[in-house]
Amino acid sequence: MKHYLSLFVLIISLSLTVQASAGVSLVTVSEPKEVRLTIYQPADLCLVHEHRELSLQRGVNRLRLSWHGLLIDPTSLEITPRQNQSSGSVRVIDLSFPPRSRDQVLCIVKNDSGGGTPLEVSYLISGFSWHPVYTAVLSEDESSLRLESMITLVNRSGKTYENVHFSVLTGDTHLVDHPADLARARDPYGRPQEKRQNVVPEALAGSDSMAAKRSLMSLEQAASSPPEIIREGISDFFLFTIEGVQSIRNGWSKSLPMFTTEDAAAVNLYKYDEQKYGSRPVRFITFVNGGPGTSDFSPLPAGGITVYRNAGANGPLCYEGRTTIPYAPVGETVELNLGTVTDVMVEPTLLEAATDGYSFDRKGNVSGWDEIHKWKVEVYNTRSVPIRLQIDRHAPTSDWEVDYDPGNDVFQKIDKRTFRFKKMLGSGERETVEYTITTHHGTSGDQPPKRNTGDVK
Amino acid sequence: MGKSTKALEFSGLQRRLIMRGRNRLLGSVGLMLLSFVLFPSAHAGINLAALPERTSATLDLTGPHAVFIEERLLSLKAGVNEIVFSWQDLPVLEDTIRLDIPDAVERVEILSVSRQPAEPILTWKVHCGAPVRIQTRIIYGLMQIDGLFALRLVSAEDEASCMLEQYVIVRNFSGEDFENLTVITPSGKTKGRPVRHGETIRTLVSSKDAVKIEKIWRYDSRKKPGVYVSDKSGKSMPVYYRIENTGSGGLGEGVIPGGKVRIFHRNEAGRTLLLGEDAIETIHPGKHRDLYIGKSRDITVDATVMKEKQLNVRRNEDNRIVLYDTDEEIRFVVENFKDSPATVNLLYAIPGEWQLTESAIPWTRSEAHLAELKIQLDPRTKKEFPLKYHRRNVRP
Repeated sequence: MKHYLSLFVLIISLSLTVQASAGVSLVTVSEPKEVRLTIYQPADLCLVHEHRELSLQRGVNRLRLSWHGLLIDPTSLEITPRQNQSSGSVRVIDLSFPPRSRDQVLCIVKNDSGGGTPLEVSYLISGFSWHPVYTAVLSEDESSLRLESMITLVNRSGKTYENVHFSVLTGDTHLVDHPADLARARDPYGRPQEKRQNVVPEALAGSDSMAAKRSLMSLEQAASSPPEIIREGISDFFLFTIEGVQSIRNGWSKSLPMFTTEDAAAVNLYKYDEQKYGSRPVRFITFVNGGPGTSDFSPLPAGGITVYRNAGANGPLCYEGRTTIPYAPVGETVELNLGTVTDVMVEPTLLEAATDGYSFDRKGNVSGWDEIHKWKVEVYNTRSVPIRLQIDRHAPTSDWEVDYDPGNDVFQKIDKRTFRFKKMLGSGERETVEYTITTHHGTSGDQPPKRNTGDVK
Repeated sequence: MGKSTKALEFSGLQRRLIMRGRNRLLGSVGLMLLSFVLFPSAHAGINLAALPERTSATLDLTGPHAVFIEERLLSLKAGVNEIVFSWQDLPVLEDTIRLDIPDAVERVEILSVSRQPAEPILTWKVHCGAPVRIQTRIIYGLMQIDGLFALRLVSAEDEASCMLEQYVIVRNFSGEDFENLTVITPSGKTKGRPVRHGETIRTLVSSKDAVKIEKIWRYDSRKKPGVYVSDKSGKSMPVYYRIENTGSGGLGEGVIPGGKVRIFHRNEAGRTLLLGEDAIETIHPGKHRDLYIGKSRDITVDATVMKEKQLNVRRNEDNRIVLYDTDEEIRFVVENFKDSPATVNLLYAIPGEWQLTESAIPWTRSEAHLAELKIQLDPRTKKEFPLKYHRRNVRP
């Protein structure tokens, strides 16, 4: 029991009074039957649910909840009857935060029936986080990849958690107050006509006994296979529930396999955009989350990914690069930016430049003209696999036309000043894209109106 | 209360310390520092040690400031009675003190109110036709005690209805312990309970089931959270729950005070998860509020300016452009990655004089400079459409 007491995160003491008068207290320490932690990403937020069985007398009961060494948001404490309990027989009348004391709450509960009462205690804490870690392994011909993912749980809450159920949730949660700030506040809801002031942050480092360490290690060794991760959508969030119980020591992190997607169709896409990336193309590996060839899919939470390539049956894995991916819902194309490359070349050259179409104002000054530029873009794929190439070019004004060879090139207007050519290049293939752009300036050119309509491109 | 405060002058800190020590000593009984001294005649200086008990104490939070109301049973003799009201080291707002005598009581009227300079003492002169024992009310503003409001919304699995709980949070740092304090809020009244100095209590005021909510995904080009990032990372759509304070919405019985609202979701298995928080203003009957939960990453909006051309340019003698019209086009791509249908509310701000010339989606001019479109999306579908418009008489 020693190690359990050192892990004890919440003490509920029960003061049995039938009426609301202060007086004699009977203290019963109630241990939770089940503890579940739901860790949010990216917010520093963890929702704790504890199932406890309390012996309540019929009538008004007073409970005292206190804690130590945890960053619990006291304003988030809720005590509710469990689902199978009639909600009308047990009611929380109010919560009281006593004067001159922190880290405790008094709760008045009215029980119409008496006896053992299953209750759920829930609250928010700070200090727990999680993130996914991905590994992508490209096939030898780079036409498909295997995506491996792991969930990494990080415990900086100040306490070791043993034998608890974990779930992790991804989604953008809007918070008014940060739980850690509320936990550190001198008064849970502040004071009238005063700004809330934080107390000095307390030391969160806990010390675990050797017995506790051995106990945790023995629990780890007992598991023979990784736990299953159950995935489900909740409103606009996605929940990953880790089957079984886990233990995580304070200050430690723990990674568990999440899922593996085999044979996801991959595309080698090279993007050239001088304005965005500079003079060299950038390599992207793209695949569709939940696309053809995959059978087990779910949204991909934002996280870091390392990309390798299979060099063949007898070869090692080749490191291709590392990047981060944003959240990707099912059906979204995921792009892995592996950085600039030198084995695919894109060289634009201005072949001709001319002007035409002059217009003049009443004083005889030039008020408008056209500029005609002829460009050649040479592309060369020195790699041993075919690639897709995307060349973005930009016009100096938003009034322009492009002449190109539609039989040879795939052209697309992206926005008012950007157009794109797409090319498929085989291994070792060279090609040339030629186009002529006419831009209109001055009276026929672009002078964009002022606008305040948000950041649209 | 017999001590004179004239000879004792303490600093604010000393007074607070003395108050705390005093409160501790007297414990839950509370120290009634508001005392009443009744004078049977107009003679000053004679003190009667009768201390009428406070029969009730109420904190009224229905106005912009907290108001304290206490009821006391006063025994008045025939003739002029002097009622001395004093407050020792309590943060009473002096200008707000009022003695309320019920209209039903005959032949009792307040003659005058005297305020002693630089002293926490107020004296009422009350004339009484015959000896009487009456229930009077003293109303005053008390600082360092107030109430906050909070809401807890637990949506059902289908996110079309919810349970809505309203709480009041009383923060008592007034220096006084209350044995039986009742709180009146715009949503209802709480039962009396003790509230000590330095204590904060949170009490449920009302709880309603089956309150209707409407889930809204809204893209607003005027607001930063709705603006996407051009390279696809960070695309997300703000999500709101709309509640209406109407009878048809399951409410409508009174004002819902503004405050912090925590929004939860409960699935059929009974599992409750926090979706988000918002701080809202008061919701008056007949009005609605949109509670901002967070952002959905499974519904995205991409807006691209495809065309922005000047027309009908007019110049002055110096050849400077002074006026022009525009021909503009925005391309929207709205995509639903969810397994359920969704309706996206798209608000696009266009400054100046504008006229829409083409839109594949029905639209309305909800404000002078705002075009509003409602886009219905089936599960896992994408809609791409242009919005074309002219702007007239644009000045550089």
